[in-house]
Amino acid sequence: MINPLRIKRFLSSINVSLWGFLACLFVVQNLVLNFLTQSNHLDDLTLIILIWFGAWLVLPSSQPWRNPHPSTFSLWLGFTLLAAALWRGHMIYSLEPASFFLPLLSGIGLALMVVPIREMKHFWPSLSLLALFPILRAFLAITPQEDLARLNAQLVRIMLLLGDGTVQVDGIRVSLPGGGVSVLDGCNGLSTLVQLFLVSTILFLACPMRHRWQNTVMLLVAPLIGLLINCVRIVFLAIISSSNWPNKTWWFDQLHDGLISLTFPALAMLLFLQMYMIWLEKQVAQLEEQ
Amino acid sequence: MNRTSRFPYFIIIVLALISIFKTIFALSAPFPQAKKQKQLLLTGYRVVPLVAGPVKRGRDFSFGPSQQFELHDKASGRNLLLLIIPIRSRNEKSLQMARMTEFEPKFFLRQRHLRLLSSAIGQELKITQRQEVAMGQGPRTDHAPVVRLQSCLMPGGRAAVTTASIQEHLYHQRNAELARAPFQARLSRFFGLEPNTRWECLAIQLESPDTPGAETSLLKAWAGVAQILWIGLKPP
Repeated sequence: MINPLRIKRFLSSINVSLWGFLACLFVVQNLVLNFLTQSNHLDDLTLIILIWFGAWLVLPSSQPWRNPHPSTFSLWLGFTLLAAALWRGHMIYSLEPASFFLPLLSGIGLALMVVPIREMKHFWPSLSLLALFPILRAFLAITPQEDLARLNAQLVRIMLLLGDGTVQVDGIRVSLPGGGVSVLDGCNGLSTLVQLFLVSTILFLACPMRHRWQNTVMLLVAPLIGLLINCVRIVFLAIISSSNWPNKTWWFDQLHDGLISLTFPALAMLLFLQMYMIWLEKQVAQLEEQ
Repeated sequence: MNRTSRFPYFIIIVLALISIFKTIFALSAPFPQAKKQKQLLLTGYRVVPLVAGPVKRGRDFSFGPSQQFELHDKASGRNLLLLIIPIRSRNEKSLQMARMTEFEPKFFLRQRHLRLLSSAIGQELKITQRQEVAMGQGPRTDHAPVVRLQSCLMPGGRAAVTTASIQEHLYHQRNAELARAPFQARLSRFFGLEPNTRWECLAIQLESPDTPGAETSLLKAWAGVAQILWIGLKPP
């Protein structure tokens, strides 16, 4: 005899699988489109991976996709928005602002295919993160790069002076006896700052601190950590450049845009996450004591 | 969720799969919008049109119909070969003359060196445009050696060879044109109803037998050719 409960569970699993599969497809489509059409794809790709990961992390705990109940209107509206995102994606070329809004458009479409419009508020954390992408992208475009490079140079000077180094800074140029480096636009750590800020925003939405001021502090500290770690990288570059090492060119290249250079943003991220977790654990411990 | 409401899911899944497949395997640069030159009138030259080439669609670049002309300098009696190919790239970082040889062997250049020129294009407009050209030798063949001059001409009259120069100019042209465009036009471009940024330029090559005075005659011909051709180029 067929168990109705089993049938219901099976149908429910298809519903979940269907929506989950659809969501995965749109994430993949988004990533592939960005990677293959945008010239600044590495920085943008990291941001897109982070926002989609964050959007998944902060999905509503009630899991409405396990029992999708969209109204007819919201279902077909969601379908239209998703189809529009696919259509617009085919006409995306490099440096088109519309490409920054595709994740949000896809996210709204996916949410509408699960719940009616009046219940969309459950998805606001995820949609907020997807809406952050065009804002961060605009921030990356309008931030005065040279001012940030000068700030990097000054912080590098302070770090080198703390280590008893003889250093001169002229604008973006950091000079040591025997050599030096110029902090050009791509090396000012702006993308790391933005990525750290995004991670702190995700944590704020996923597991916020008890008090508002603590969350604000974390949002401010995250990009600061990114800036400092980037300055550490520039310190190493300056030291290598002014050294007499036989392999200094290889080390410089690796630290500048090779594999070793990628470890610094990862280190900044780990450092921030560690700080966040330690502070969060203290708050949990305090709550338990109370 | 009933059977009826699963129907849009299946359709959009199929569309998404097609989209992913097309993006990965069938991505291509759009065709250039620059029109074919119906005729070329160059003062001081007799222009003879030669055979035209087909359009080519590629992943990184697409080429419009190529045109070749023989230019006979009435003053010196020298014969030059002019090749014009509209090029459009998917992004601004791929667009550079040095990569053209990968797709069109006629652009091959040995001992390439860059030269910066400035010329007044149109006395009425009084524009002095910065022009960057590449000069060098053609391929080693059994035929007589040739000298080539090549550059990519853009709207506004500027010509460039390197990615940085082409990108800088097209980017500024795009922003200037967007700032002038009405709000409705900008909205149409945002939603994809009108064509958006075009990373496009007109690749031009002049070729001369490698005899004394070849470089001078190439530069003289270039000034005339660039002056005529840039007018027909629409802003990106």
